[in-house]
Amino acid sequence: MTGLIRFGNAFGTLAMALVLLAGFIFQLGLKELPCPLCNLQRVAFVFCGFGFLLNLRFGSQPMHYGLTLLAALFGLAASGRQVLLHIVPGTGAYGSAIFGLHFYSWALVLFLAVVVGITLLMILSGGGRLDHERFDSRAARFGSFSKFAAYLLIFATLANAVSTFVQCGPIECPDDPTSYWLLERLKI
Amino acid sequence: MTAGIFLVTCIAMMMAVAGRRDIAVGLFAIVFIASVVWLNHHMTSSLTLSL
Repeated sequence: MTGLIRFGNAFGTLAMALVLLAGFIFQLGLKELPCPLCNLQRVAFVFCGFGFLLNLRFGSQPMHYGLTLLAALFGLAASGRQVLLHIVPGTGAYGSAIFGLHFYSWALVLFLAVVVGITLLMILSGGGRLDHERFDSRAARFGSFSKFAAYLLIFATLANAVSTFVQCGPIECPDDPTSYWLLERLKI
Repeated sequence: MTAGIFLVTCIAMMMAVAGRRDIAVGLFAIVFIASVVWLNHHMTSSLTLSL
């Protein structure tokens, strides 16, 4: 059972990293710049990944699950706000659709999936003693798959930090961005 | 601001991987509060997202 919980947390970390990297495919490939609320949804995915990463590094603990749930609620608020902005027919949409749903709708679904995933992991964790009682052995078993997922998430987060700075600068993104702030300042 | 949030979270994750859980969670707490303030700013301002 512990192996399943550990795999669930590694899968969660990897999934958050892949979602962030998929965002780059559309940003760089289709030249669809993320809006301020889109960036905050990316922040929420990073926060969710942080909770999973803590579980991988220090063992499953209620506090780590709580942080992930808090992050998912933050993401639900950001994506829910954007869905409501465009929910009335004829009010347009932001970005392209994938399988009929726009990014912010998919984000809403994914944050709900994170909540469901966390509840399942907490149910599975509830039967035995908590992993933090085996803190030292768990820390020593920060395995290769877990490490890969953790480092990929850190890389995706750092890439988002650079991308957001290039796009928005140090303060605030425009509501409907059409160009990169830094590239315009450097006249590239 | 959002770039700073990403950067501090990245540092928090690196601290967690390095085994410094208290620092990581402390940084996360700071950056989460900042994010909620920033989200509130964007939720209450009038957006013109391709409308």
